[in-house]
Parts: sequence; C-alpha cells; structure tokens
Amino acid sequence: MSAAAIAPGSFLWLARHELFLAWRNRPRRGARRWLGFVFVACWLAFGCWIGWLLRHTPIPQYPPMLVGALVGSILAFTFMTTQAMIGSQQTLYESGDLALLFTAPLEPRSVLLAKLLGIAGAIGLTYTALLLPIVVPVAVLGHP
Amino acid sequence: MNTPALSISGLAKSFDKPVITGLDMEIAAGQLYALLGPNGAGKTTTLRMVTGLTRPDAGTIRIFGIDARADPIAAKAITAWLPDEPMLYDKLTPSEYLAFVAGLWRMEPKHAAAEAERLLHWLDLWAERDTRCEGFSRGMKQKVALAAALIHDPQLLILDEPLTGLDANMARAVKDALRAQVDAGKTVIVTTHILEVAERMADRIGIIAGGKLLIEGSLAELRDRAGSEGMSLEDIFIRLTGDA
Repeated sequence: MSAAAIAPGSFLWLARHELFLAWRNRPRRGARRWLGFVFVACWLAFGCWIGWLLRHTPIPQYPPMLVGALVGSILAFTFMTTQAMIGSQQTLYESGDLALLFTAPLEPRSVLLAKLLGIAGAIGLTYTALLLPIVVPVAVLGHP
Repeated sequence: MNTPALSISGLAKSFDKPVITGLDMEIAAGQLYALLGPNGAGKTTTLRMVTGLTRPDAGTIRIFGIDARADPIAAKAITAWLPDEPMLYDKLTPSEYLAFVAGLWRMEPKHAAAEAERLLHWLDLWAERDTRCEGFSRGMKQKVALAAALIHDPQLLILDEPLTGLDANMARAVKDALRAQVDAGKTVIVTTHILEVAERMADRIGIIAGGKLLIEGSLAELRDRAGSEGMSLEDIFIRLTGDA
C-alpha cells in the first residue's frame, strides 16, 4: 500500500480513524472491559466443543432444518439492517462530527464512505463474533 | 486594493420560509468582525453557507477571492469554523484530537505536533494534553476546539457564539486568543448575543435581521448612522432590529 493511500486526509486514514474511535469507545475500566472478550471466548469454546462431539455424527439436511436456517438468516439480516439504521442515525444526527469533517478540505464523498465503512465494520465484527462457533469448527474439523 | 477576507453577494436561502434574502456584505482582511442579530435573523445560516455546511439557493461567496461554491476545497483549506456547540471526540485526548484535525487539513505530522504543542501551551491546556476530553468542563472543551480551529493557521476564523456558557476567566482567555489572531493579521468573524463583547472587541459590526444586513460599520459609524453620539450598541441594536 502506498504512503499516499494512508496519508492524512485520505480515505483510508479517515477509515482508520473511525476504527480507532470504535476501539476507544469500548468500556475502559472494570470488569466490563474484559466481559466481552470472555463471552466471545466461551462462545467459541462452546461451538468447538459441540463441533468436536458431533464430528463423527452425520447431520442430515432435512427440509425443516433448511427452513430454520433460512429463517435464522433472515432474522440476522433484519437485526443487521436495524443496527445499520441506528448506526447511520447516530452518525448523521447525533455524533456531531460531520460539521467538523465537512468544513475540512476533503471530498464529502470520502468522509461519508469512511463513515459507512465504520458502520459496516462495527456490525460485521459483531456478527463475525457470533458466527465464530460455527465457522471455526467447520474450518478446523471440516464438519458438518 | 486588498482582497476582502469575505465577500458575499446576493446570498439567499430558504427552508420552510426565506431565511436569507439577497444578503450582500464584505469583510476586509485583518479585522475582528462581529455579526449581530436577533434570534432567527440568519446569522448562523449565513456562516454555515460560508463554511460549506449549508448549500445556498443563490448568490456568491468569495473567501480571499476564492469562489467557495466553485472551489469549496480551496476555500475550506484557509477557513476554520467553530460552532456554538463544538464537537469533540470525548474518548480522545486533546493531543489526539489536534493531531486528527491537523490530518484533516493534511498537515505534515511533525509540523502538526509542534503546532499542537504551541497551542496547548498557549491556551493553558498542556497539563491536560493526555487526558480524555470526556471529563472536561465546557470552557476547557471550548479551548480545545479553539486550538483545533487554529492548528492549520486559518486565514479566516469563523466562530458562532464562542463565549456562551464560559466563566469570566475562560471568556477572557478566548477573547485574548481571538485578539491575538487579529493582531497576527488573520480575520475573525464572530456572532454573539453579548453586545458588550462586540462593543469592546470588534473592529467592525454588522447587524442582520430578516435575512438582510441592516447596518454595518465601526461602532462610531453605527452611532453616526443611528443619529445619536452617546448611544450604546445595545440601544442601536434594539432600535434597528425593533424596526426590522
């Protein structure tokens, strides 16, 4: 990646700032700081444990199961959309930093794209964490 | 002839109803200009159009000769805007915030760090440079925001109600900082409801109401035009805006 691509004021520099802000916004003190990490680790361990137990058990793909998976996907997609809408609302109307960003000598398109990436990144990371117990055992054990 | 810091011609903006209607004004460089007006007069809308935050319906805006509508990036590069409720990232420290704002203006990091250090010392924020802004008082936040507005050495500094809610010490610090900018040859435009501040600080004063500039000049010129030598700015303001 060229130095110009991450130079101050560039799109990637703005996107990095958004991710840095998201990181800074995590709980800083006390147990809450570690609670999220512990939860994700336990969740992952649980998924791996189930995957390990079922490693020799064939899982048939009955139509009701496929329908259930589809309904689950639709629900997850709905939650992601809701989160994206809330994130967009906070970005546009509550965060207040657009006044600063739009008075800077930057292309407004870059600013909005970086904001969009920040919203998408935050949502993507949340659902990635939730899917880890399925994805990791499948990747490691090749099952189901 | 020197290029004016700000030249506005035929500026118009309507929301539900007309807010600015054919506004013309010119502000010479190197002055502290106070833009006054009753609530809803269009002061903030005018300044938001100057800074590119609101798109005008009609008219031209030139900042040091640069057409702000045709070349907004060049105009923004020499301008700074400080709103009445400045936004700080609460989770960042003043040093981090200034580094970010300097980056927005594409300052070279080494130069930005040196300038941030100078401003933090000057505004008496150095001891708090690595403390997150979330615990700061309104006055301290205002000073951090002012430092951020100054970090790229803008030629034109625009502030909306910069003294609202500040105690006497903080207000004095901000006023001194603005005067220092003017002494250094920069142009400062402020809106304020505190008429004594405009009376004492401003080189020139403009009074806007109903989307038009009613009167403009030095305090002495305003008194002349209002027809009373001993009149205070408050008297002039009430007489003009009461008629508007």
